[in-house]
Amino acid sequence: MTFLSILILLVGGWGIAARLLPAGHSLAMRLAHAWLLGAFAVSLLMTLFGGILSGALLAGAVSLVMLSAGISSFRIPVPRGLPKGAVEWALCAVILCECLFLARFAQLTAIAWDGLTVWEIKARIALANGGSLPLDYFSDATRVWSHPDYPLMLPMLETWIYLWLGVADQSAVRILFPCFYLAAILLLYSGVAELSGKRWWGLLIAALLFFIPFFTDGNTNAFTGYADFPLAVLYLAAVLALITYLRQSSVPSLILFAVYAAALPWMKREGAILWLCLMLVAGAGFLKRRRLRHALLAALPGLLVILGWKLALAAARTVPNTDFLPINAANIRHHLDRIPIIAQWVAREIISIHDWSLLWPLCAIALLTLAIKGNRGMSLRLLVLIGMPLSIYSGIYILSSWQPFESHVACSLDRLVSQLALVALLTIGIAF
Amino acid sequence: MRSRVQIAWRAAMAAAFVVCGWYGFASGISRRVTGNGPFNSIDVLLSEALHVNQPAEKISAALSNLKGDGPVAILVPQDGVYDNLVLPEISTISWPRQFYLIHCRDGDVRNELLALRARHFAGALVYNLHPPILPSNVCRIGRLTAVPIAQ
Repeated sequence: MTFLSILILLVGGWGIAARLLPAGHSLAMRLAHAWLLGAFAVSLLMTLFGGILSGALLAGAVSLVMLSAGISSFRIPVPRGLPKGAVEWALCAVILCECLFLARFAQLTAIAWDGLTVWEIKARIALANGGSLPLDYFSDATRVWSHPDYPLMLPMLETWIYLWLGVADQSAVRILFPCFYLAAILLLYSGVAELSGKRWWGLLIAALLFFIPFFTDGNTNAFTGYADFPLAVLYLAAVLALITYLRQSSVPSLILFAVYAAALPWMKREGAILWLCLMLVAGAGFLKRRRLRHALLAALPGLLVILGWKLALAAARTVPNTDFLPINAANIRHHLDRIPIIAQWVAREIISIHDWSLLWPLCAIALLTLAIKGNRGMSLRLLVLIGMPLSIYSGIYILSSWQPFESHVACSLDRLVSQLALVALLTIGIAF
Repeated sequence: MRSRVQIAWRAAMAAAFVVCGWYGFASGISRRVTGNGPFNSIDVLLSEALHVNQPAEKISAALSNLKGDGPVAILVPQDGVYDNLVLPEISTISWPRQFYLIHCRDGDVRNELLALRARHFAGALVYNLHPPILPSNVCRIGRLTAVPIAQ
């Protein structure tokens, strides 16, 4: 049943990807987008239909829509040929070995703290309620630690699997996380290969993902049920879609970008910050091309998700999050002395080989290289897409209500940085 | 020539990345599941706190034996290591029952239980406390003792 639920998700995503991806896209790109778009579509449909349907009816209705989307445009892209030369074959073999190792690793890795008590708990409760979260949950003061205000993409995906199984099964739901990892590999490969024109370089960059210890070996690695890695993959997809749009100016690539940008705040609250950064970079492009209609089209889905979720939380009388103090001049002024301490933490994190290998130093060199090579536009865009969220993420600790606030930084900064890591790896792939 | 330099630079960069990444790997999986049960991940966390195998299933069974749908209190020592973690872990598998955390000392458990009965609690989970006297109908799950309160 778990595989059937994943298959339906992929079939639907495959169909949606066929409509939105540019002509001549690779099989790898299609597969990655099929997973990500399918996941976004299933979670949205589960949330929307969950208000009126429950149980088998809900699973049936979502399946029907997904299968219709898939079957109506079921075409397999023409493969662009097998790997050429010993280097490409060797890199394919390396990636295959990495995947086999990680498949075993993921099978043994337990869903960790937030994965259980923030995300999986919502799926468990939704299952008990027929597939949607009951209103009582949002106002339950005894479960405020589970962050009822966090968005529902991951919980609804987990509920989708639970609905098919008919039971909340933590060993079955872990299949979701290797799928996101595989999507990251395929996106990195196809994105870098297309932008650099060299397939072996795309394969090499994809193979390097394995050597970022935070994702493969950390306490909150990509398989521990946290939403940060899936958010990083969606951000990578959104950045790649934006680059494609800026090169082609086609409406399908714009829609693809808008869809991924909208998926970000649906995955995690920080996604709204990533959405804002993407809109700023895209906005400059729209302004240059004088495409107001395109700007509206890009912003609308994300605005709907962000405002729709805010309204839903207000209507459900959700217990407010108390991790941060209210944003006002007095609170900011009172805690400005935290800035040097936060800066130290960020610097320490970014140069941590234990977490990131050489990712961040190489990313900085890559941005410089791009600028020197004359590709200042790309360099500036990527700098904003990495630097701006990092600055906002760090700056928000000024208003942390934790005592001492350093404990808040210690337990979350590395995960916030991880949300930008895939785009940093892409930057290395584009620059060198 | 330029192309060869570029390839060499890319290869050197990738090699350095691999070496540093390899250096960064720790000893492996920090929390490993055992078996394929529906609670296998929460069991990993709960086992650390309760020192018992498959605690989630046992706690679920103990809670399902409580009469009524009233809330449950988790009584924990005042300065325990795992205390604040036990409540979310148990609460995760016990919707829609509400849970409240109460810090107390060994000698205060009996009085707390009496107070909970007056407040219509369904039961209490006494964690890592060693009260001198407990009712006879308790269920022990490692360091946790499930005490029915509602009659």
